[in-house]
Amino acid sequence: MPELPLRQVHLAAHFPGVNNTTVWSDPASGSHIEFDSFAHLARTAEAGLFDFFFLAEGLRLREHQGQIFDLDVVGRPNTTAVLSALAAVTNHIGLAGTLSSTFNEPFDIARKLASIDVLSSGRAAWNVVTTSNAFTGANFRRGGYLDYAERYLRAEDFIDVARELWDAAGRGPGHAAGTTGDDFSHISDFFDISGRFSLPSLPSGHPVILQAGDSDSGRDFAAGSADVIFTRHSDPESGRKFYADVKTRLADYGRGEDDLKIFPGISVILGDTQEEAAERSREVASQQVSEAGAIAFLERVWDRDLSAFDPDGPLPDVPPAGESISKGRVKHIKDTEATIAEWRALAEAENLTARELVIKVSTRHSFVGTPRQVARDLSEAVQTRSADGYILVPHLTPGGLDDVVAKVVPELQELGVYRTEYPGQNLRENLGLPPARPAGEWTSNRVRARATPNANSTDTSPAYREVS
Amino acid sequence: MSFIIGTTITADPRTGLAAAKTVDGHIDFALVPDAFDGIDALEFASWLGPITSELGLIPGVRVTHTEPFHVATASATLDYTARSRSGLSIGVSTSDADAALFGRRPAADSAPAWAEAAQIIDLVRRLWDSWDDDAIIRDQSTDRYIDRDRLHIVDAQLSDSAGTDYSVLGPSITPRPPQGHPPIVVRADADNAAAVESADIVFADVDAGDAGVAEFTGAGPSLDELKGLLGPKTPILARLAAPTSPVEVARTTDFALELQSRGASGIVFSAPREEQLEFSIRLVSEIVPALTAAGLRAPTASGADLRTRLGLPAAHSLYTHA
Repeated sequence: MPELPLRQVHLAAHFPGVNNTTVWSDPASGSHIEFDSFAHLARTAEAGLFDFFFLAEGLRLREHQGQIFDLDVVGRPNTTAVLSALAAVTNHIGLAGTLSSTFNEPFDIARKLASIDVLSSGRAAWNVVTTSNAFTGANFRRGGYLDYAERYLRAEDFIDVARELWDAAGRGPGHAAGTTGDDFSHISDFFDISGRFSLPSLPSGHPVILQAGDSDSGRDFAAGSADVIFTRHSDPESGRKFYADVKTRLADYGRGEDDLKIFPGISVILGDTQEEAAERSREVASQQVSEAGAIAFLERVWDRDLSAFDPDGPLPDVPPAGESISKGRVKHIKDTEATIAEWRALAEAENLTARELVIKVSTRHSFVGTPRQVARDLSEAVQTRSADGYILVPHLTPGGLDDVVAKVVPELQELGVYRTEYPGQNLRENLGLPPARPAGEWTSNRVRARATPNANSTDTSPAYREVS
Repeated sequence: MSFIIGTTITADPRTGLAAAKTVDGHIDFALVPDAFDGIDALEFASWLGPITSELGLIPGVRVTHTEPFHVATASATLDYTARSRSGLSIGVSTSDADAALFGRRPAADSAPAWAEAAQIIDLVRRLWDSWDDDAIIRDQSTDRYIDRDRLHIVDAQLSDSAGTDYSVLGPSITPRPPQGHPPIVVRADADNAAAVESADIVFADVDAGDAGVAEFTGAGPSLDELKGLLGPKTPILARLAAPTSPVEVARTTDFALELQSRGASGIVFSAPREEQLEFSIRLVSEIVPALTAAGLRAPTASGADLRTRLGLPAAHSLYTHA
């Protein structure tokens, strides 16, 4: 019986975000705003033949107990402006940016992404997020204006409009039905827009759509609208479940297994030996949780001021309060009481201080080992359908992926699971995605899928999370 | 002060890039207009940033239907990627076609649209200034990355072109751009005196005329009126159709001398997209050498930021020096 060909590993690079994954206190930590930092990471990733470079978005500075949170990296550039500049200093790597569908208008976003696609010869990608709250809305004309369910329906409609506009690029005027001279016309519950979209045809057809759905309805949203899922399911076990679940949804939407790629976000820590890597992982974890940072982490879970407690003492012996003291970030812990009880038990069993506990529960690194071992683990995860590829989230700016590219990529190539040159002419081809389908096909497939009783749940408001 | 020269470059990855590379190092800036057609000017200027080395990059943005917060962060970011060579040209939307692209409110009349634009100019500068230059401290003794006392709430109250009030809170997400205030350009028009007064640089439409005498052709005030309105601190540039015939090209130096005698600090040329590349070559091979020979232009130090090239003083923060 002939052996099946090995599934190929795909990689992408996440610019370090404004959270405690990013270590700014290390002497090797560079600027988070100067262009050289972005150029360095993007070029490194391109040297490693990564599919894309990924940049998050900031719309309002995070707050903690009513003040701007000052313990993590604060401040970032405008997402599209950096991607456009990176298009000038790279040749192959995809340029993916997070952009809110809530505090932007479809014409503006579609045109900016189309501009990047033209300037980069087909390398633009958009991580679609919705923004949850009046807190962020305070910086925008609309303010906090949509309730939870509406926000997500608007996002789906928003992507449809963007694809309609991209279809109109290069087509010349007069193609919108019932109009004279317009390229597009879209009237829906959320938008009433029309006009010209007079850009040249897009090299990639449509910029690649990324989405970070995780809930049941979020997965359906991705199955119905996205090209790539960016997920938190980094460990192979939960990854396999997520992968199988999402991929089985695709048929309902008239899509094949290869039409939606799954990319968990991961961290990689390397060493010359397994022991050295483990020691390095402990050091990095310690850097990721400063003394003040440990208390702030606990405050976000307890939702109360814990500044009176010693990070090097036991966990605070007070109950959590009710109201959220943190603004501008997504809370991943659902059941606070149960989580705290679990942590108390863990701290007692292992005799951990508060800071040691925070390190333990918040800084687990996904792949720790020698370059060869990490390459084998990544390949194994991809062969067993835990992922199609991985988005690497380095803890250092800008050199955090230098070692991975220099050491892990050659090992992956040695294993026969990694490209030795870029295979395609644009991001869509490098990801192994099919050519862009017209906007109308996405819409009609979705309508048909959801009209089928067994296709999915009745909840049509996917739960998104913002990615930082 | 060297006579300032800029030219219009359309956001086009082929001819626009070629024209920008041609004039880079020879003139002061490229103005990239944006009328919601073709490639986004801010994205195009961002792309040109790493490809050019001396050229000022001034993208146009129409602020009537777009988000001021995004305009502020994108322009601040351009100042980083273009290494202190960015500016921003503020315009408005008054057409039904522009309004229909966004579908948010009806087409604006010129006066309320420009009234909002003047407010947005102030807001954008406040967002740029909402981080002090030294806000990032990386203080390991207290584990603090920033000193939050060096960040400022903006809390601007504005009124849009349809009369609806809105506010923008701040601070910006992007640290203060290297120039502090990338130069803001406004083209003088009817109804936009407030925006013109708040600009760093003002463009006035000028027609060379048959006899080579400056005639002010725009709907806005004349050069003399603008001088009266603005005083000596705001440079005024004559916005002029690019000369095409050898006679017109040869006449440009005399015309520049006349403009200078009447108070203009420079010229920004505009040419149709299909003529820009040819004109950029003429600019660097004929016009600029002639202006230099006539003593109008002196070489600018390599690496100068755009404010310096335009003769503007360093920008003080509206917060730390208010």
